[in-house]
Amino acid sequence: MTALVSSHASGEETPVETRVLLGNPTDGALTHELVDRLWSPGRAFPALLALTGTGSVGLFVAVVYTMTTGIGVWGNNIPVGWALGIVNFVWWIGIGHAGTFISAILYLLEQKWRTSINRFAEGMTLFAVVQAGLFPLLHLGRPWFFYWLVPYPSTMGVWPQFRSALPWDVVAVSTYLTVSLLFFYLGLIPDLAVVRDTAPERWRQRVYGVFALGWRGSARAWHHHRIGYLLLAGLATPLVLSVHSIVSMDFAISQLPGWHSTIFPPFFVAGAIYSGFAMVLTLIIPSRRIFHLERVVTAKHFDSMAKMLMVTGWIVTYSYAVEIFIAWYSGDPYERYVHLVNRPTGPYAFIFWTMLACNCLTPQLFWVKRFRTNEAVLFVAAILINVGMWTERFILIVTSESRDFLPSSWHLYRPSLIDLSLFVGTLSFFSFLFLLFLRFVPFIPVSELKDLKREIANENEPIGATEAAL
Amino acid sequence: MSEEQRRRDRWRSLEELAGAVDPDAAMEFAPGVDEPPVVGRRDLGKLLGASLMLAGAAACTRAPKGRIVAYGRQPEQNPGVARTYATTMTLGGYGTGLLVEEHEGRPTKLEGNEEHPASLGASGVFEQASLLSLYDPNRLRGVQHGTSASSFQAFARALARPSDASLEGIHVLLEPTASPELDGLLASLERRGAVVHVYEPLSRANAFRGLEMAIGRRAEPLYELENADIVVALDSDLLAGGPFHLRHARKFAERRRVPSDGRSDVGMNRLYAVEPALTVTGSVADHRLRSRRSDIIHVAAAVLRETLALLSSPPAWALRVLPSLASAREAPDATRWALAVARDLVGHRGRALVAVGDAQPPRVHALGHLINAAVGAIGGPVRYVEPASRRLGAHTGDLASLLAEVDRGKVDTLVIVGGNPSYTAPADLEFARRVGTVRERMYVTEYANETSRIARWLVPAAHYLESWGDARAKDGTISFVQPMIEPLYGGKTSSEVLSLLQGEGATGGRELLLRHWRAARDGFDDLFPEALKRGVLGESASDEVSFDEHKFASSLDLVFPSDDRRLELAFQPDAHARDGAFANNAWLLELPDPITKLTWGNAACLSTMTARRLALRTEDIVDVRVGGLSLKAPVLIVPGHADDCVTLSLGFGREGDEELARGVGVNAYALRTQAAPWAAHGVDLVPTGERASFAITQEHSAMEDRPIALAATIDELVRDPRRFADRNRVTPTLYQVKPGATQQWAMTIDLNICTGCSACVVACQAENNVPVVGKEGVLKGRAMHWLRIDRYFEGSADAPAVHHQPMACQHCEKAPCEYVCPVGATVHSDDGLNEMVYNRCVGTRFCSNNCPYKVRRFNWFDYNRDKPETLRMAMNPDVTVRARGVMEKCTYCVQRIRETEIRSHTHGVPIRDGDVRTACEQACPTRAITFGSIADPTSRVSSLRRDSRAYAVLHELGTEPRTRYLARIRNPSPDLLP
Repeated sequence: MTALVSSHASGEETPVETRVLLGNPTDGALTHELVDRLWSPGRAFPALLALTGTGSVGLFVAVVYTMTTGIGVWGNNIPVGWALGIVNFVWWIGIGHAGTFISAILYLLEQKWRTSINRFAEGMTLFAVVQAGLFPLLHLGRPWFFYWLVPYPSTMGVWPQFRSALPWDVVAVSTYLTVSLLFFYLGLIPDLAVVRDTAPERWRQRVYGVFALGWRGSARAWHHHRIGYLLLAGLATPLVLSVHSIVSMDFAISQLPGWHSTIFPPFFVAGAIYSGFAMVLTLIIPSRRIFHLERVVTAKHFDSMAKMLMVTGWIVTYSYAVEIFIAWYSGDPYERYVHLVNRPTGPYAFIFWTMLACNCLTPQLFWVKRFRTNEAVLFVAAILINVGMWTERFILIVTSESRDFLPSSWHLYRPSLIDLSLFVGTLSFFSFLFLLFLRFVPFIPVSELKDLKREIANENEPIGATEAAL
Repeated sequence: MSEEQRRRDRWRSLEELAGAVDPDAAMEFAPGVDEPPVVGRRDLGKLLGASLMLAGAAACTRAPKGRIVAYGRQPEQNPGVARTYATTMTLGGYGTGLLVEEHEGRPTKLEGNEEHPASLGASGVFEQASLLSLYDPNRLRGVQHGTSASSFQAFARALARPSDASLEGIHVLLEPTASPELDGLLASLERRGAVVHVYEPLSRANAFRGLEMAIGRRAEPLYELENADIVVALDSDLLAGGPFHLRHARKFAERRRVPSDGRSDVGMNRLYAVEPALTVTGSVADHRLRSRRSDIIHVAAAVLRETLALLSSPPAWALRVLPSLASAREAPDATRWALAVARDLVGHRGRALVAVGDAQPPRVHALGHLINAAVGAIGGPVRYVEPASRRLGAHTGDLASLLAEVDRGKVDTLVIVGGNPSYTAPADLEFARRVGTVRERMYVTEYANETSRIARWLVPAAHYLESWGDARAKDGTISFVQPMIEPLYGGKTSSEVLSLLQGEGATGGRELLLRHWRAARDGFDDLFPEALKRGVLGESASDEVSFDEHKFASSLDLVFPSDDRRLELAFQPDAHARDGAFANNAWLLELPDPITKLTWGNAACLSTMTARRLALRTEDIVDVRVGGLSLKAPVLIVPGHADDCVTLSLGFGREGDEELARGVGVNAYALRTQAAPWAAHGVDLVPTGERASFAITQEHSAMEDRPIALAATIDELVRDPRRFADRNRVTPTLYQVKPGATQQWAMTIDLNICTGCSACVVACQAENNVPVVGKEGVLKGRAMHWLRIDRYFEGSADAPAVHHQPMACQHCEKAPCEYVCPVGATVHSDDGLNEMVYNRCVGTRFCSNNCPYKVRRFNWFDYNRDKPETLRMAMNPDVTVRARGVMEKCTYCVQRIRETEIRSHTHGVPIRDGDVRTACEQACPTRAITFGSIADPTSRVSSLRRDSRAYAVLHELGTEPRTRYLARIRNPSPDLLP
């Protein structure tokens, strides 16, 4: 167990666990602490990049093979028309929820602990949504006609069929990607300017300068920036709820037992945030160690995130219970079969129990305060929750399809090598993009942290003193 | 500056200055000087004309000289409109009349000929699938001599004999035939010293010999199931196998229909079956007794004994058999069963019959006929007629005598016409090794197969759709075979080859046919066009035979085999490959077995108990050892199988050049001997530790207590005629579907008369260009059949009730597939069809996920891309060939609907009930499928939907399917109720 209590703690008056920023560095020191690593990559970086890059090439090969040969290279069949492709889609898009939740909703709720981790989560969101977006495209029988799901004015006067959830899904995911990207970039502009101003080489200054869009940090610019950021946060907030709600309707509008369920939208959103926070933890715990971020990512952050895991984990657990209860209570033989027979005792029962263990038991660790701030426990728990949420999607999608109404058509699903390559490939590609993000982008928001520092200082000092300092 | 002025400023010629030439139009260079010299218009015309003429000359062979005559209506010269001709397919020597749908000179679909007694308009799986065999790219292409290509002329020189020469030393081996023309030809060859042998692996020799034992003369038994209240099938798959099975099924079904009000006094028939492994017939029986093949003789004896005991005045011959009947073994369950059967038979005197399968020894056949005689069936539902030909029902001894002649060096030239004796001959005959000593070995064959290895001359055999010929049905009815297409690979008919021995050179099939018939019947030329058109020669059925009832059973030597409790091995004709002749037919290979649902291969079938005793599981590979022979075969545990018995189907494990057949399944002939052609004892199953994988289309056979394939007994229906009614109500709705077109298409499927024979599945595949996905595809759950037959077992694994349920798109009025499609690729038509717009489909498969019946099929790959040219010819041009990545499913044969609509529109005639027939409906031997419009309250489909047995599958989902089912009604004997 590693204590998170920082050795160079100052300010005896505040308990360590509640602080989101340790010490009282000067602005300049903070800038250097957070930005200088951009100029000196670690020794492991090229090796990691090569590893994930190779995986990404594998993804590319699997994609090309699928596109040229046909979707038959996957393990899908009739009745299991959707399988790993959609499992991965839902899993990735779920992971992509934490970013915007942290940056937008917590921003609106003025949660201080969001500041250090929001960029990190936003980057993760973007890259996760990129992976997610790949699967619905690929899983089409004729992916080259994907744009038929988009409402564009076709010369033949043909529109998508709006009663289906899928055209809405396309809109929801692409809107989410767009808004997330804008939100991410808007927040990044002041920091890009910081990087530009501190870059040691001329070419770096120029490159970052281009992306900083001429940010000068004037009051007027900050004024507009803050209004813009607030508006986008307001815009992004409903999207956090809408995307996974609509994704859940891909299942809920059907009449398949196990899919046909009205609790899906909130259940999916909770699950998405659950998995998103787990992924943030999975990524930030090693990053904190590697980049020595103990000052800005503190026990307070871990504590808050662990509490989020508990809340969403309980919503998910409650949803499982409600689903099973309603299946029993409804008396519908098909629903009952799925929830009471097939999932717990059927051919995929092992995955079902893994799901319950990972998703329902893991967050119970966090009743214990020590576990909420213990890196090792958090890391293992986050991995388990990631696995659990993946198995949840698998159970939800595959068990329902493989045994539905007529037993004559029951058939199991086994993923093919290509299915697995695509999943591993997206994990690699995600890591590849994330490594580049860590390497080239200030992933701890420098300007916002400085703001936060001042805010904390204001809270701790008399008002007059602050005014005098300004 | 005006245009006029500018023009005047710069000018090149006086004409220009004068304004006579438009400077913009004038060109500096003469037109075309920078282009290559071109061929003049006239020269081009000449060249085009010449090349067109030459192309035409090169593209075509000359049209065959003989005229063929269209069925029903005069051929129209209307491209795109199919024509129909009558012809005959021969299977096991017996003809079945068919109609061939032909598009621009290529046959694309086969249907039954209503006028032919063996078809009555229906067709079976082999008839349907024989179309694909015609186009099989693996067929032998051209004559071969040794390993090199040769010509038919060269072959003719080698075989031809002068017309007066003796044919001593020439032996002909062929499959059984009832063709009058070929019969005549063979007789003339025999007169000149040639020896004709007949061999068939699925021989009916036992049936003929058994009947001879009973009545003292050779005859063909005909079963008229329409006159039978009680039918007892002793190891007989009479509803789905053997000659006349289509007729049997139709007539059986006619007595199976239950009136709407469920009255029981309509004389619904009752079927008893005794058999080792479940067959189609056994699966629809009201009572089925599983029994080892060799034990059935005891059951037959018990039935006869009980029957004679129940009769108040037993026939005179009873005294002859009663003493020996006493020596039959008693088995407690079989005795109770036999008593019930006997009671029923006697209670329905003159309206009951017993049919015995060809795999039973002659004595069982004799017993069956004695029972028939005792219960007055003969002259009633059973008639004995003259056999259609003496070359039917050949015994294996005929082949053995050929080989004896070979060993004695008496055979100089052996002409094998059809069949595949190297593969199908009993293993102990060592056919392939022994015929190697014959000097000249000639083989007329459709494929380069196992037998072609031992032949020096190979001649491609003509497919029946390429042939002229004739055939006789089981009742003797004569029909003609007329070619639908020039032989694709230069195939020759048996007559064309054998006529070479008559010393008249190569003669065409039509001429040979006419020559025979002109000699055989006066005024034949007047009869011929009409016979070709109708498909049958009028009044050609065989006469009934007369026999002396006093001599009955006098030659019957009733000895019962000693009790052999060792494991028995029974051989069955295969549901896909038959005897191996169809082993290269992709439609049949992928057609699920009606009972096991196994595709792409065969298996050693065992009962649950025997498998447990031997500690074997499904897919274990065992070494089947019997009498020094052995074969590795995978085990399949089948419910309803007899204990202490292994069943293997024939026809697989091929080693010829047939690409699809090679390596599929195991070769049961390797275990078959002369002494034990149908059942061998003392079999050992030795586990090898290896495992196989079965491509089975239905993995789950229990209905899980869900109301899917509904059934009741007739008594239950009478007691509560409305028992199915709440599954046939209109479900309350807020979303009214507005009435559309004048026709509202719908279908009903009567589960009571569906036998699961699967003819509809192949018919659908042929009609709708349904692709074949191969064993790998089936294993992955990607079989493409638009119409599948779900088979459920109910009750114990030893004696399960079997339910067959054809399942295709239900054309739901509130279709769950439609609202989930993101691009509107599946939509509803005004006339009630759930339509699939292939062009619009992007392949999300959401529709399939949301289809509760799981009848949608997805093109996972481009299944049609690498199709050989000949197989493309088998495609129905009226149906789109689907591309990769789109969903497909049953369309209610929309192409047929639209064709009928167009015809109705053109001729101004309204569409009547029955004008549109779907492919499945048309093929169905029992007419279990009915299609029509429910907008017309008087249509058959409307009245069937009002039937008390009508119900919708998954009615509670509110999908309002247009396909309704009629529940199955069983008619169990009160004596056998538990």
